[in-house]
Amino acid sequence: MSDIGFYFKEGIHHITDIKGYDHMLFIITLCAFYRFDQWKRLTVLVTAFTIGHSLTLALSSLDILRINQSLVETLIPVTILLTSIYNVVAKAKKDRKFALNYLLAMFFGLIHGMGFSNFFKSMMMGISDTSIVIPLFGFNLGIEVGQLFIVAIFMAILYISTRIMHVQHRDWKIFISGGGAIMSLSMIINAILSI
Amino acid sequence: MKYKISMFLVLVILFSAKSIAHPIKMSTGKVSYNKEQRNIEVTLNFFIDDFLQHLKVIYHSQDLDFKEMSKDALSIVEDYIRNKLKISVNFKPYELKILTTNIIEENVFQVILILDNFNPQYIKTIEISNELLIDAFKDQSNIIHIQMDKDSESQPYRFMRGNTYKVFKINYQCN
Repeated sequence: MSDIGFYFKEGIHHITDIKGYDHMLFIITLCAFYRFDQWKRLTVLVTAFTIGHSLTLALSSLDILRINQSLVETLIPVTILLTSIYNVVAKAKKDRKFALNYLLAMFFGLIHGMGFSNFFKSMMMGISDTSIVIPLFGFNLGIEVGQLFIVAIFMAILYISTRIMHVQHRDWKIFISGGGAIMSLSMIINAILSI
Repeated sequence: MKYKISMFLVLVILFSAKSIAHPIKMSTGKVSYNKEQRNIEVTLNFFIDDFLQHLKVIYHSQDLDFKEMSKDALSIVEDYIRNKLKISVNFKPYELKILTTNIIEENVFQVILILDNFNPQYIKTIEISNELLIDAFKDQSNIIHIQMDKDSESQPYRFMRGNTYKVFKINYQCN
């Protein structure tokens, strides 16, 4: 397998790995706010997240941006918690509120990108005398494809739940967001208790 | 109220900042042909904390220190690598010999090895069995890049538990 193929596969594996579910959980929680017929808005939102994380993944991997990784790994569950809370407390959507959602998704993407770069830089440790551009491109592309896969699965389950089983979207949103909040809180609390 | 919530979140972040780091269990490496040495060079990179701690436990050597590589320390590292990393060329096994060790980044320990008594003119295949640190961590991954020289195709591969052996097709003329 060539370099680009290998790192592409690693990118998909990293974001869809159930053992490292923080990124997947964020995407699911982000998606929970929107109904099935709002898939266009959801696409724009996920794109904003993608722009954010691609930017910091590149900057951090190229050592242009250096942030304490422990802090980044702490902020990731915080982004999940804040998104969960926002899903439940946010009221009617207006265009300017959507612009805020877009900016938040992009901002949270910046944080997740730094988390991705931690893993990518580990894969490149000691071998960064070779160019990292192709591996970085492959890894980022893999993350995007993995992300699309997660969103597609989520939308399929959303369709089945709300259109076939007639679950109210409000209940769906609260259920998913509640799960996201509990899981992210447990990540944060575990960290505090392990000090 | 908003101020108190903000302070609470800041305290949560500060207290958890040291501990929530996602543990990545990984080593990296490169296998290439060194024309000056006329030998295959194997470069391995380990997270110092994981590697050192594991060696201290299995060799009962609490004084082991990568910053000052004594003969005993070198012997331990070489013995461990020889037991966990097996390299054959054209299906002939070769013993690994340490050339040098370095601390190359804050938490990265690098070991450069060559194959003892290596002399083929043509490398058709390289066979690698890599179990480095898999005995220590069930999630350990070892990424190895096989690239004979900068003009050759790079073949990266991830070794992990349940997938520790691979035959690489090389077809490289050693000159």
